[in-house]
Amino acid sequence: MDSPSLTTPALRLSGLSKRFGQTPAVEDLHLDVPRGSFYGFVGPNGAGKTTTLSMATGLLRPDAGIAEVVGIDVWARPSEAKRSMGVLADGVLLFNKLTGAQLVTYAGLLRGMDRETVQERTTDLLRVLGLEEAAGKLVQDYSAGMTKKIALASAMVHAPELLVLDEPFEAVDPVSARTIRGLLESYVASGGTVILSSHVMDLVQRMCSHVGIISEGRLLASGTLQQVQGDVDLETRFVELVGLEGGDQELSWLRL
Amino acid sequence: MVAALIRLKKDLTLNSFNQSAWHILGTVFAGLYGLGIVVTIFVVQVSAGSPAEVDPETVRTASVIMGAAVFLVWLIVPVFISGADTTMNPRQFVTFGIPRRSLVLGMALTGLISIGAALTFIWLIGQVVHWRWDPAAALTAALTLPLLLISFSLVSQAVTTAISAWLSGRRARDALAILALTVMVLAYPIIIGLETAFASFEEALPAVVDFLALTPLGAGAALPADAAAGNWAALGLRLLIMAATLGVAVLVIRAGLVKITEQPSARGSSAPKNATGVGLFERFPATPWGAVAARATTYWLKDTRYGGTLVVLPALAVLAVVMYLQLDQSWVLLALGPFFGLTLGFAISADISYDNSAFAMHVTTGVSGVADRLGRLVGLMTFALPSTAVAALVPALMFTEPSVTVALLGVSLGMLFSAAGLSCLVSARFTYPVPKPGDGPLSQPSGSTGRLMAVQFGTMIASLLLMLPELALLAVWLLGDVSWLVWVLALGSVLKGLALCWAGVRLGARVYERSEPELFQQVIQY
Repeated sequence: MDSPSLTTPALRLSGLSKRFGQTPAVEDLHLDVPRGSFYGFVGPNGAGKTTTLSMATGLLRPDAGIAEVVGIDVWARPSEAKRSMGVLADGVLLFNKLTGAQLVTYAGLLRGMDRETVQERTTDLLRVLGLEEAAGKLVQDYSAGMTKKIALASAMVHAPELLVLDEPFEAVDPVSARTIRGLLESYVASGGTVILSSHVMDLVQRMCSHVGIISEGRLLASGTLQQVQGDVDLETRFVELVGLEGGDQELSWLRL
Repeated sequence: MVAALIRLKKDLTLNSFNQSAWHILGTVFAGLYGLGIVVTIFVVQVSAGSPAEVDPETVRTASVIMGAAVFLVWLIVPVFISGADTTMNPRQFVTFGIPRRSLVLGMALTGLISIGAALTFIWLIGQVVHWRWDPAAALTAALTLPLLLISFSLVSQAVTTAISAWLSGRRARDALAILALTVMVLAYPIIIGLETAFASFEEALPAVVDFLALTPLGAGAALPADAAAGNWAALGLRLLIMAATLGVAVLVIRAGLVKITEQPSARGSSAPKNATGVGLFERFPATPWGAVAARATTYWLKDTRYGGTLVVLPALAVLAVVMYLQLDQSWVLLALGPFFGLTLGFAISADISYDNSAFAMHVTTGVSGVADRLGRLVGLMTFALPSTAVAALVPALMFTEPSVTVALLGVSLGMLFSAAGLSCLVSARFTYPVPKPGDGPLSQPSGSTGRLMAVQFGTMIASLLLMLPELALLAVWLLGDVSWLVWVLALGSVLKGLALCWAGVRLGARVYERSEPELFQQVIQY
């Protein structure tokens, strides 16, 4: 196995492009996620966040460009690259006829881990995420927040160097969100790298050390939070870059 | 409002054709198939109604039987498709606050915008032609045509609404669909039973027809016969039956809509179970393929979409026993083993489609092709192997000598292995739409029926080619009665099957690894 130097980015995307028919979804996207960073990947709906992250995680083959996880090309050496990466995909189902404990165990065993380690970590993850009570319940009966948490547990069970999380906070209640946030922050503090997509600017501003802003398939800005937001807050900067829709018009009849 | 609902249905129907060419192809095929049947019936109706050689009793019998059959189809179809056909599910309209009267009327009328309604309309025109030899009867048939069409639609809508309102639970709906399927498979034994009760089918027919004509099933279709016979009292009675049916249907729809739109219930969840441990994951080896096998087996047990496809097997076993008792032919029982083997072997040909987007976990964890293919194969074999063996052995031990038992067991297992091996390869590249996770086992998958037919047809041709050695050996043995061939046949089948399994896993794994992301992008669309 390679021993990538500490300067190798945890995730490097260079020149990634994807078209769906005639519509370009992502165009020539370059992005570096430094090791140990907490990277917020933000953009309006349909900007290409999920497409980009899918190409980085092996779910969608890019038309052009390279995705590297800790220096390993995801598309040339997929099984090695996937070993270093934990993924929470957005909008996909889980094997929801399994119980929560079974699902995490399944993820661990699929990664080729041994039974004892899987069992130990499953118990730990369920405890930390407050899912102990629901361990024996089918995932199909979980609430949205619990589903996100169990998916996160499945993504982390093999202690990856990089976590790629697509919309980890969507439809999650504040209590679960705080639990997830706490877990991710301690993971980053211990040397892990997280890239997460979101469109909640407030959350990204509070949590992330680095930010990338994507719109219409192009990366508009990237760097540390300070570099990107400058002397305004992230939301202001984001709207400046992406532009307002509807041009601030009002509906004359919607006045009671 | 009613007009808006009808426009909505029209738009939804037209838009569904924009999805893919496969969808159009499938619809065209289904439509042509139905049209073929209806046109055949129409020709019979025209010739049977010819004034020169008409037999009033035959025309009445045919009308009532056909009428009852059409009614049954309208009644049963919603049971099967209500799971997935959400286009006009009343639940969709909860938030709009549509007046109840408009909703009831609109739902009944939109039911008429369908291929089924068009085909029924042709049949009803055929009925008028069928009765053309008697003016009063023909006039009655023509006048009651709209009545029949609307009652079909209303009854159908009543079933849909009732299922949606009171049986929306997954379990209840699956149970209902499986019950309906079982009844359909068991129709033959029921008819046989009737036959024995009445000594012969011809003798039973008049009684059956008279009975049907007094039920909602056949009352409408029997009306022209009453007019032809001048039996106005009977005609009045049947009209009352029709009216009562319509009344009940409308009441059911109304009550159902009230339940749905005014007391929407939260989706129920199963009681929390405090089961510790991870079930089957402890029973299989702690390897990637073992995990896949444990997961697959868990799904065979828990997901009704999996088990539901196999419900035909026990039903067929029952059917074979009944047929054997009737015909006293042992081959119907001996055929069970190979049939089980073939059906079970193909049972994994859609497993990635069944995963739907949950397949993402296999992609992102980087599980190897061999582990994925082998795990699913082992998961299937845990129950397919014993059930095929039992299906082959029990009849063979009852009826045949040891040498035939060996041959039958060999062929059955050989077919199971061959079909499973082929499925391992085919399912790694060619997926087809299946019911979504959470839907009923018999609900219609959305879109691309054409693709489903193409993949299944191709697989069938390939499997026939792969089974040729067995078929040839079987023929030689049956014709020549060379007993040493039995051992060759049995051993050869099993070995060839195992070789195909090995090849299926190897090649399937290579194909799987090459096309994993494409596979994922394909199944998330189902």
